[in-house]
Amino acid sequence: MFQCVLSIKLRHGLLAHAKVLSTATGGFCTQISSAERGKFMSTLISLMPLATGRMIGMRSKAQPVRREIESAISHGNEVVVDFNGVEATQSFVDELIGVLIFNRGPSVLQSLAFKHCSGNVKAIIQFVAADRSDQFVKRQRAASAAPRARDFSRSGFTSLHA
Amino acid sequence: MYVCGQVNRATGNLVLDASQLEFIDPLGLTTLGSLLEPRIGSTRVEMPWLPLRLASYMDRMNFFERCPVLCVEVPEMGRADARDRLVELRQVTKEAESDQAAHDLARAIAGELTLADELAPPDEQSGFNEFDRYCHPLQYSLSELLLNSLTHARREGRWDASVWVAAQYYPKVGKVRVAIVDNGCGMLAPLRNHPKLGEKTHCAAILAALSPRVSCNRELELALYGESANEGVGLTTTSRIAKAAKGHLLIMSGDGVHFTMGNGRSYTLSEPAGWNGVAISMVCMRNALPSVAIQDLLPAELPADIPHVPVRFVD
Repeated sequence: MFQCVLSIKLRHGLLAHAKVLSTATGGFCTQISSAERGKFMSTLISLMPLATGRMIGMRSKAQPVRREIESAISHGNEVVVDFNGVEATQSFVDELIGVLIFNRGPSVLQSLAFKHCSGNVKAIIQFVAADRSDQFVKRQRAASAAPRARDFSRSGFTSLHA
Repeated sequence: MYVCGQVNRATGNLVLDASQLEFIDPLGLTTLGSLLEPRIGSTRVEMPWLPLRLASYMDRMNFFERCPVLCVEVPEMGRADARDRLVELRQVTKEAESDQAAHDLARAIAGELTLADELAPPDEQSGFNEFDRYCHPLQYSLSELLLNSLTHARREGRWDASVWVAAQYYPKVGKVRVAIVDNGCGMLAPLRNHPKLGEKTHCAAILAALSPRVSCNRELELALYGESANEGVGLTTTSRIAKAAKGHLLIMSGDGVHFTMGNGRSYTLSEPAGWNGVAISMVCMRNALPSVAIQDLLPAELPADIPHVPVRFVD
């Protein structure tokens, strides 16, 4: 891990300080604080280091990035995910944000922004967001209508969750 | 498929009569490798009547390196440089290898087979060069298919299942054939209790798996420990990519066979195959790959009552 502090002049003329951190995932996470806005923090996560060629497909590559996103959001930060120079599969994007939406609801997207996305990546993100949001809403409705927990052990599926 | 069943039911040493064999493609090669893998080191496998030219092809594809079959006469001529036509057989056993495997196959087909320059400057509007446009749909498809195989094949207690991949380009017809085969539990077992599965048959399971949002672990609660839940659209999208590239998928599992060309055709073998892995062959036209736009191929059939979900994109 290393970190350094940079001074950056942002588009709107704000002078901001940024910490650039290398992460255990091999990605780069930049925390930018806006001096003028004071309390607002934005975390920039670049996905380029995760690509093989220009593509990211593995779900396991998304998991540590999602944990970084969750950590940043839990501290009240906005997170900007930078897809500059990379393409991604639906499986990767689902693991990155689909799980977040399924667990927390579509409101989690208010804390997220996606940067430098190709047309394919935009379409995949929108698809995953809509699909998992639909699942979340239906699960909420089902839980409201039938408050008793569903017994998955009788449905033929095995789970090793405690 | 019949041979698969016979091999799986056989005990002791094995002699395969390939004297009438005329042609082997990546699907045949990967299926044979997947079939013989459990026997490596424990039983003797011989192919004494394999035609010389096929033995040479299998040797060039590194088949005998992966599966040490005995009594095969391989010509002693030098190894021809066929990088412009084929990608050798390889085995993938971990999800951590899948991105690299998908990239290597796609890169070989896109680069060597199309002479596109990987390092050419990108188009300013799209951000991609010609190599990227050949490579991208292939790498996307391979990545999703590999992930599917590595995830689902190992359900139902088949923790040792592995995936075999190979690819070849046929320049006279401009076709690319890619094969991904696993020796896992097949499609029917994990989907047996899925509400979208009509008949409990292998063909019905293949058709269900091709439908959008059908997966044995779409709900996070149903994923096994440490496993990720799938949306169930990887195979659907890959099928559409193949079609957009003027090709199709051939999917085999158990005694079921399905071609996705046209409106799709399914067959059930008259005899039980005795093999429950999944074999997928993707066939497409090389020159159609750059025109494939994945954004237009994602399942768009979302329910009408789905809430609008604002996603922020910034440049």
